[in-house]
Amino acid sequence: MASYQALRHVSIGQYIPTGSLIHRLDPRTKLVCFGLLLACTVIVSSYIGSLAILLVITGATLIARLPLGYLFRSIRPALPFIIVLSLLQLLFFHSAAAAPDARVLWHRGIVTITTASVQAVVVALIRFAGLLMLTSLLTNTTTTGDLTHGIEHLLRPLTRVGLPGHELALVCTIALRFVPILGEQAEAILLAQASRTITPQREGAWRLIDSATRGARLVVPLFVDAYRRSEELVLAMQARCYHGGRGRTQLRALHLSRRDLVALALAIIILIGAILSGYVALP
Amino acid sequence: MYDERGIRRVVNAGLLLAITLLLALTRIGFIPAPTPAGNATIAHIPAIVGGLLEGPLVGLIVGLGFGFASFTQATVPMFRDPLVSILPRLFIGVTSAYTYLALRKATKDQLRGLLALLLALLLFAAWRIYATPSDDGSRSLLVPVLIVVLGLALVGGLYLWLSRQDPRIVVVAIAAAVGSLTNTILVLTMASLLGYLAPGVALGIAITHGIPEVIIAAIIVIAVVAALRGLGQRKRSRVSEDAF
Amino acid sequence: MAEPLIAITALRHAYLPGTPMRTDALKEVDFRLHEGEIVALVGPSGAGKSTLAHHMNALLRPEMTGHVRVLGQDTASRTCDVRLLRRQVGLVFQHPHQQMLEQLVGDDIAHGPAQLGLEGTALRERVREAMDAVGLPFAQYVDRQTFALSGGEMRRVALAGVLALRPRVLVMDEATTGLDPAGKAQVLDVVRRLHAELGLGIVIISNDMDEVAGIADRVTVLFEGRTVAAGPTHEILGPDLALSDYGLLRPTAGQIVDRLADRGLDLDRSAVTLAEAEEAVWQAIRP
Repeated sequence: MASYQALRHVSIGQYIPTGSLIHRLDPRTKLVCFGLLLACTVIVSSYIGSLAILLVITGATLIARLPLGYLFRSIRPALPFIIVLSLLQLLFFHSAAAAPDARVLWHRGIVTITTASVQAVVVALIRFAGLLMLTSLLTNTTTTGDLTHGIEHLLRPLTRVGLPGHELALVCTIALRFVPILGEQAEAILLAQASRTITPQREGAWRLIDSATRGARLVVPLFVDAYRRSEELVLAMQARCYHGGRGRTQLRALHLSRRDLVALALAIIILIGAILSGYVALP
Repeated sequence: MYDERGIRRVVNAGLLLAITLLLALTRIGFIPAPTPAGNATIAHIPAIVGGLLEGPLVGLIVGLGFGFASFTQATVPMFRDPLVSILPRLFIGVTSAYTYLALRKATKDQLRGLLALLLALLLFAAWRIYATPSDDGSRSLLVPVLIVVLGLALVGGLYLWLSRQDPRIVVVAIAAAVGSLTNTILVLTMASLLGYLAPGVALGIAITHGIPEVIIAAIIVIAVVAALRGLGQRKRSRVSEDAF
Repeated sequence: MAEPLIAITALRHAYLPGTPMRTDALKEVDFRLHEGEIVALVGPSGAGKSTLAHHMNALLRPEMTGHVRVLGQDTASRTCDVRLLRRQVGLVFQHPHQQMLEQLVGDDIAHGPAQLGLEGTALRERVREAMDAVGLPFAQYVDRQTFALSGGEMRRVALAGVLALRPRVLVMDEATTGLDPAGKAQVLDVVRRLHAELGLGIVIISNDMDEVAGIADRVTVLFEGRTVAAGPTHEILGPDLALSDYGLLRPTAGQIVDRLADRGLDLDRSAVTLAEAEEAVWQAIRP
């Protein structure tokens, strides 16, 4: 019950200021590098390749002085699931079409373990660890304000090809600003509705309907409140003669420094390496 | 973007994205349901509502937000793969939007025709599955029978419901169902294509998890749209003078 | 003296303890509500009034120090029948749209009694009775959409929903904030009538001292999470207590007699309502 107050403090990633090199990078650099390295993790499927990417990401995380323990503790509750799912994947799923030249290691009944399925599972786990750290690298080293700034700048060139870059960044800004506000609303709604709950939950088949109605009861006032706010915001924007993104100036301008160029260059090199590794038969 | 409609779309997209983040990142986005996981997500609902009320572009953006939030919260390797958690989610709002746009002006008869077509398709699919023996020569009976039974129940139920209901509500329900199914089907398809789940397991999850989620999504989206657009599904309170 | 309906002693409450976002909403609070009383809970914003109200129907339970005893039950105890308390203590929230559970007014008010098993004509009559009590004509409002109502109307629907459960205690959190003068008067009228006809114990949370002066028997002042004063209305809103220390002012009537007294007029400064002030000034200036 007392956790009602937690909803207004929700965030994608807690900003952990450690003053590292990575923290001082331009948010655009971080966003682009995030995208490039994300692509890398998706592209590579060899042992060496994925380990290499993991090494790079781990290195960056250490440079950023982010607490690795804290990161991996967050997935501890899910550890049983991870183990079970990986086991299932290992034992039961082998697609003969995908890896025709894989060596069969063990076969009995419906259980087939091949070198390909072992590789798939191990690479998936390596990739998972890498992505955990990579997301942390982005969200824990950059404040949400900087992130949206960066997104807006990056999306700006899109306006020249007719896509609404500035508007997309505005959508992000509005969303992030309203999350705590709507979170407070949700807290209050939960509390007020709990106040009107006077009988215990029904059992059996009714539980599905009951759950849905309870979900609706929470969500509907939230949507109504959000739409009310949107009407106000639209009026406010019109009142201030908002006319789109062209020619807008920023209070805080972003500058690229040498650090950023180095980071970008590294990321691009790694990506090229990842793509090339696909052509070389690596273990 | 300089006109009111453009501003409205931006602002609504932002607010729907905010609700999505709130639902995807906290416990209120999961409600207890009779599924293998014990929970069903409702964080995809703002994407569906966005697609329905604001159009496919807004639906796409909110869906992307849902995907990204789901990606950052993922605790199993399967969902940490952006191709599984982000890519499919782009389409939730888009499919809902186009379904709604296509059916919006439909009359009751047209919808009935659509239901009949759906039933015919399901029966055909069931027959094909039965008629095609699998690799070792056996014919599966369970799956076709299941499809026929569920299909009849579904179409029959919708038919009855349609006859005493404003067709617009039914259209909203169908669009919501399409959106939720898009989520379930595309995510599980990607998961099995990429080798995380065996196709049989994926299908099983699709049915046991997907169907309750669809029902919940339909109920909630109807309630939201009714509250926002005044599409009162019932005009009379249960304690009204002529209610009984 | 009969046991109080609500007895809160030395209550402490913190939100999100153990996190960097901890807020100590209540530090040391005492509160009493006796049978048939109207008690006003006043204090500046952020003093913890709503938090205290949430303890009164067991939405929040004492997790640190302090005791909360409501209608004979200890809310911290495991055997406390929380659902019963929610029925017997009707809490009306500050923003009524957060309390709405249904699309239609009639359905929302019927929600509570229906959960108790009422149906058919009995249910309808209970809803009608509640709507009459708050001044919403049944035929006109029963089929209206809840989310389309005005603030004042929604507030009355919320109150009706609570009254339909026939509570023994009513707690109204800022029930008149944001209403126009006519709306405020209407709500206060309803409260007075309920008090007179049903003898309910009522807690009114308000910052409007004039309103408080006109309706409350006793006043409890909350400041920064502590009970700093409690007593009969005339004592608390009278000239002797330095309300400004707590960010509050005397009711307008009290301020007028204070100002006139400061200018040298010899008059009774204990007035808190308009009528009392009128009498005090009249007595002082008539030849």
